[in-house]
Amino acid sequence: MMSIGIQQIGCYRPADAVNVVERGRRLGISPEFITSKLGFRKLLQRAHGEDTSDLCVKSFEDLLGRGPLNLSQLGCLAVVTQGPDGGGIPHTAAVVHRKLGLAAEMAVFDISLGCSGFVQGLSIMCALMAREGIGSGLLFTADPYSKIVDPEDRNTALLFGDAATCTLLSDRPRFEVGRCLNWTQSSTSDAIRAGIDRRLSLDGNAVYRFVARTVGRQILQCVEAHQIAREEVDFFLVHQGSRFVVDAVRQSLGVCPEKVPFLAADTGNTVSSSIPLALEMCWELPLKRVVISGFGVGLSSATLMLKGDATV
Amino acid sequence: LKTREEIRSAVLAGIAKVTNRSEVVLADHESFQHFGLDSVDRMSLLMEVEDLLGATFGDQIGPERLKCISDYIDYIQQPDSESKTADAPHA
Repeated sequence: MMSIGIQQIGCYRPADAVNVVERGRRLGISPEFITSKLGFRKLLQRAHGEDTSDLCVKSFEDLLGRGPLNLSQLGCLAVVTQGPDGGGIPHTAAVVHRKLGLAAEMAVFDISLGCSGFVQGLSIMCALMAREGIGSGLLFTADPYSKIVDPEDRNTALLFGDAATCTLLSDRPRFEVGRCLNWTQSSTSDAIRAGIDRRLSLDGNAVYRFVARTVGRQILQCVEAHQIAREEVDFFLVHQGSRFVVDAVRQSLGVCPEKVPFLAADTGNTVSSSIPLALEMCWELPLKRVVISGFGVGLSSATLMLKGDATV
Repeated sequence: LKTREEIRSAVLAGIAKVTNRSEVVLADHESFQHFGLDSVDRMSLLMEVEDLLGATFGDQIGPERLKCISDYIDYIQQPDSESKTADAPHA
């Protein structure tokens, strides 16, 4: 079977941003709490009129700037989002496909997942490509929560930023993608939800409990499955939900802070984009093993190992 | 069933861990918020207490109901408490 993995990542970070301390002051939340617990300085904001598919296109343009790409070899395209263009029909992936002018002979679909979506999306796309003999594919992540966050809601207004990524998957990978471990705790799925009013609500305590009790264990299972010590992993790139969420995972792993970096201070929690954005920030490093773990909406978590050739 | 002193010791040990202090002195009715614990600290404390007592609190109980040591004692000792205690802390 073909070895499919990550060849390159394109990113789009909008130029506009919300100052978190200023918004927090208006909501009566102290700068100390914002700095020490949330960890965000800025929350990236899409431009007025910029829709989810537009963010995807911008990330694709960034990908094109990173090296040659033979569009005729693309066989599949997926968009991880729960904030689609318009009412969701047609699926955002089809809108992106049209805007990019890609060939008709492609599998094009959305994946409805939140913060675990990049990891599960990798697993889905790699399996599809290996089964169907597809040499290249694109996995987009774009979930602009500014569409659904109430800026007056103290539980959500200081957390989320807009961004998008475009990951080129191919049979010539920089990182091979390992087996994915999945967990879904649907009994507490209401902890992160958007109702008919399309307003996001978040039960931070339930999510924190889920992360602290579940994610670290799953990551350690992943490491054990590869029969290596946790110290042999270069980085654990976990979903950048907030500084204290990343710290909670790190504490459950029992590794030094440098192994589990918090890299989202100037973006905010960008949902399914947070891990590929973090991976792109580490791209120039000689990495052999990176564990990625996404968790959130569902409540779900997904973890897998990326194996690099340690060359750039 | 855990005694008042066992619960009090667990909460104080939990606060010490969450705040990185070697020792904590806190009256049973003094609020955690007044002591300087923010909402994240109070949620972390709840899970520390679960670990220390080998207990699992129900999903319906959160730090907003457990505002001081006395609240922990009352909650854990009430006959219809949702907390389930085990012989050993969580792995």
